[in-house]
Amino acid sequence: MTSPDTPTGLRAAVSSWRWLAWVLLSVLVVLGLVAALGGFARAAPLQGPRVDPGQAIELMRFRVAVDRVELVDVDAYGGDADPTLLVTLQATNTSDRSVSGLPSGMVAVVADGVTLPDGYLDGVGARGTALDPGHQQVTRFTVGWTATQAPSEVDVVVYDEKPPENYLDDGTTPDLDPSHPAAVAAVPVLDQRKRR
Amino acid sequence: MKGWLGLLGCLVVVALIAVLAPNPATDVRRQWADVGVGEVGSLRLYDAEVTRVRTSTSVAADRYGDPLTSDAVLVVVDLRLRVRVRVSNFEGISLLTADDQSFLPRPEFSAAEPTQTQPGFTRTGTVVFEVPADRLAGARLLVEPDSTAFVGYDRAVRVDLGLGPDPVLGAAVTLDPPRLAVTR
Repeated sequence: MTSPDTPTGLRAAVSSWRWLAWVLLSVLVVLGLVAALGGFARAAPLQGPRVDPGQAIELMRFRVAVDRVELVDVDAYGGDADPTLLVTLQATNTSDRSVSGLPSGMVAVVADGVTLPDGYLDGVGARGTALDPGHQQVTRFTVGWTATQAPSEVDVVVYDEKPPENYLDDGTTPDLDPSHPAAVAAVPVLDQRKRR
Repeated sequence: MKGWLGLLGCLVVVALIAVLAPNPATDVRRQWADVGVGEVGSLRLYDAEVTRVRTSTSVAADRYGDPLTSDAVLVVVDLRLRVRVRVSNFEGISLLTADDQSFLPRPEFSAAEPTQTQPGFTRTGTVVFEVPADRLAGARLLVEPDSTAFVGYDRAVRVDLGLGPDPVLGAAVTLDPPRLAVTR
């Protein structure tokens, strides 16, 4: 049996519509606040301290310098390959223990404001990526280039690490800090392609 | 009231232990056996012996690939590992310099490293470290147990590699693959 106070039929429907209005109003208020605080503004382009090619960038566990950027269309054995940007880096492990290489994601290439996807770090020749304490060695960042025109200059962006925030692991391996670049180097691109 | 105070006291003790106790991952306690080249040191699961130490600036992983050349020193350490108790993977091998810098074997030469071995067998293999020349004096090889879920007190071997400040750099080295033999 229904009590006289319980809305039924049309009144119940009106009451639930009122609920919906409240929800919509709340969403609008939140969106308005986000907009008023600048949350929908266009993100600022990547910015960080500008460095010159060859200038040392001091990071938490590494010292990195961007040597040069080449556009090539051959692979490591001299065979034909898709056009690729090769970023040559001088990397030194300044910590007190060996690491298997610069963390992936530490280096990125930005051309005309667009971060090029699917880049990777590797060694050169017989040398892999592992970095021993205090020994400077060459590491290479490779990323594909799809346009026919070679870029005259690209930004090589280097990120730093931060102490780990995961309290469940042993707390010895830092996390990459992708929130802002540690340094940005504008590097001219040497076009070494055989086929143009 | 007394019970609650007791509980509070226990919680304070637990919090103090959590804050003050050393991180077991970075402060690993070991019972070290200090030996020299050619001497056998025992871990809980296997015996380790450094049979030879060479220094060079050029090492090839095999006869086919290009050698790795270095402007530092490549320390080539030959090992003989006699497994006594349980299957072992020899993952805890590193080189520690006199100023406490820790070097791992160069992964370019992983094919020559000692691989998984069952008890009753002896594995010989080689690990290669790349170390700046001025850090070589007093460097030691650490042979520690394979890591497990809980790192506890355990035995480990520390080998004085007998390296001085000016090591004689030998000829280019070509590594052999690891070998297995029945322990006699």
